[in-house]
Amino acid sequence: MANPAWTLTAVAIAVPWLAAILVAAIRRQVRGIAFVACLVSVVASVLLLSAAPARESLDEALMVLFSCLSAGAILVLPRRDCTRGTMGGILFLLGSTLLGYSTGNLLVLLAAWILSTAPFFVERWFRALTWRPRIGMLLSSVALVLATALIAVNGHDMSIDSLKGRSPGGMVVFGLLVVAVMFRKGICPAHAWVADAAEGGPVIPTALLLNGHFGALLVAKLIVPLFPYTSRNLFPVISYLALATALYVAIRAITENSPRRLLAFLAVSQSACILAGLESRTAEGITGALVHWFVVTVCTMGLFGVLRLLEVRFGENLTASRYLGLAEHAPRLAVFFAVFGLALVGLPGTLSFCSQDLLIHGTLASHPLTGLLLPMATAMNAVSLFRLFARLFLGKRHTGFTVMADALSRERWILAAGVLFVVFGGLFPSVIVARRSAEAEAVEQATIYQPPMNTDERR
Amino acid sequence: MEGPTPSSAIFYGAISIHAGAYLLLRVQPILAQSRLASALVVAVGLLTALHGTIVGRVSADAKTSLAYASLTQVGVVFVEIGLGWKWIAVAHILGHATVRTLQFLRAPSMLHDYHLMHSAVGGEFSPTGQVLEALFPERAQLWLYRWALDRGHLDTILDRAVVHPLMRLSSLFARLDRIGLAPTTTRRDEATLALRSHAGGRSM
Repeated sequence: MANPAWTLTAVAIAVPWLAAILVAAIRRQVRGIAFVACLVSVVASVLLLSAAPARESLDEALMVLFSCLSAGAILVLPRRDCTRGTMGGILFLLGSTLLGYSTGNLLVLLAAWILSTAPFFVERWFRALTWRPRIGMLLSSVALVLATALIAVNGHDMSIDSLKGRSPGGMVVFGLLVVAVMFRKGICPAHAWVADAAEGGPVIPTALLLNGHFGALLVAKLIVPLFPYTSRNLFPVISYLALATALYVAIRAITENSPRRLLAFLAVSQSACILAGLESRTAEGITGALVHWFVVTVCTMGLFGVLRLLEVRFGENLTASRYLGLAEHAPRLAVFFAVFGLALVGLPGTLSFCSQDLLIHGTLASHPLTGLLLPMATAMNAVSLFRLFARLFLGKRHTGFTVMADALSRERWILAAGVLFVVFGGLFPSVIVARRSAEAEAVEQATIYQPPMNTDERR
Repeated sequence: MEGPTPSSAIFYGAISIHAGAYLLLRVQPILAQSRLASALVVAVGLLTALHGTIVGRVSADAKTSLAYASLTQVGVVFVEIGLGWKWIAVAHILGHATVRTLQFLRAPSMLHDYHLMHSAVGGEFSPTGQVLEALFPERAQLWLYRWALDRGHLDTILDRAVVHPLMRLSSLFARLDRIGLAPTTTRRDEATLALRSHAGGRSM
């Protein structure tokens, strides 16, 4: 009889893929089919999470988060975007991302990594205005392919568990994995593709791609456990790169007037903090990073969702260069935008405050400079976010537009669920933090170096 | 100070104005370990008190002058904390919060009261608060007056030292980000181009 966990994982991954094919074949009820498929993934992931031990539940928790996020995205998606292609792409992305989260095999992880970017290479689906998004994703995939090939050439087993602590392939593989993370997560100087992708591509699917956080997953799942010795010595470099990215992108966002690009910069800046926390090698910092992972994912998805709804209602050329006064017509969307924005930049009372607090304490303990500069990046992000909110929603609208075009009830419910998550998470943080703390201890244990019997460390 | 008076009274007269002083009080044992840190707190307090009292003297409306008076008192509280007079600082905070909240709440009706008193005494009161100013030479008085009117040039200093360099840096980063791209590759640029071509087409 098949292992129930394996069966549930297969269901969570296969159902969205099958639904993607079904959506391509059947032209009617596209949103309904996609939503049901996401719901099946949510249920399967929740069952997996409830069965997983606390210390080893990170993958399952991420599966629940991403499948919920996809279900929400499908509900929020405006009717204009609700095409077979978009739905199929989102479902394919969901299946690939869940495959990446759930796997313990390096080859499968590589396949998931590549598959999750596949829709973004289809010209009709993802129409980027520049060449950078595709090159960024391509280079990250090439780096991971080379790293995996080198590990395979050295005769290692492809199971991640059996590779733990063995530093397979030595410094070369470590370097390639870091390059893959840099390109996938948009770490400086490879950050520009993220803004280009957000501006040129379909907003909500692109936000889903970014919120898969495959870069952080590679760090937590592969780099830290496989290279404990190398990462102990060289990880501060990644930490400083992440800090530089958080600061650089936060400064860059100050003069940006395109709302899509600005939100992409904020997402990159905040998600760079996740890397800094994962690298801190303290239980506090890693817990903060894992909680922040959840917060950034929900908040950026909410912000991009609200922005898309505004674009559909008021035109796609929204700009932060003047006051647009949209709150007059869409007060609920204004409130959702404000709450998600404040939650992203660590307003006390929201879950982000707890995650930022843990992150800063953890990084202060391991790297005081990083710990001191991270709050500056967050403060600058807050300035940019307030500017964007003020320009979009405040002021007087000078057009003849008089129709109330606020959030529909379908959109309201799903955005309200996101708001409840960040607000109740902030009011009762122990529910979320305790579980992440157990997972963080497991990640922290993996960074403790134990000399293995046979390593390629010195190569 | 543009908000409603009751909220000004609570936030700027009682709670938020003293939050920094309260934080310093909580870390006072750590401050006491370092003479440099204590001296720094005293210096910041003195500068704040001086700035507040000078700028407050040229404020033309009641709430702004009360706000600067609050700043002056908070500066003095900082000095007390820096000198290690913890309990004096606590008493000062409590007393100041109470009196200042009352003053803020009374601010809207204060002018009305003044007019009543002026009519009762048959003219305005003699001007007060010009003793200290008279000690300075006339040129210094004029310079100080201009300095106070511009609130110590603090906004200009912040603009020049922080905001403008940051904006220039951000613009430089934006230019760096566009390396290797064609001149018009943003959504906004495309929209502008489309509008221009549309306008051109109509005029032809």
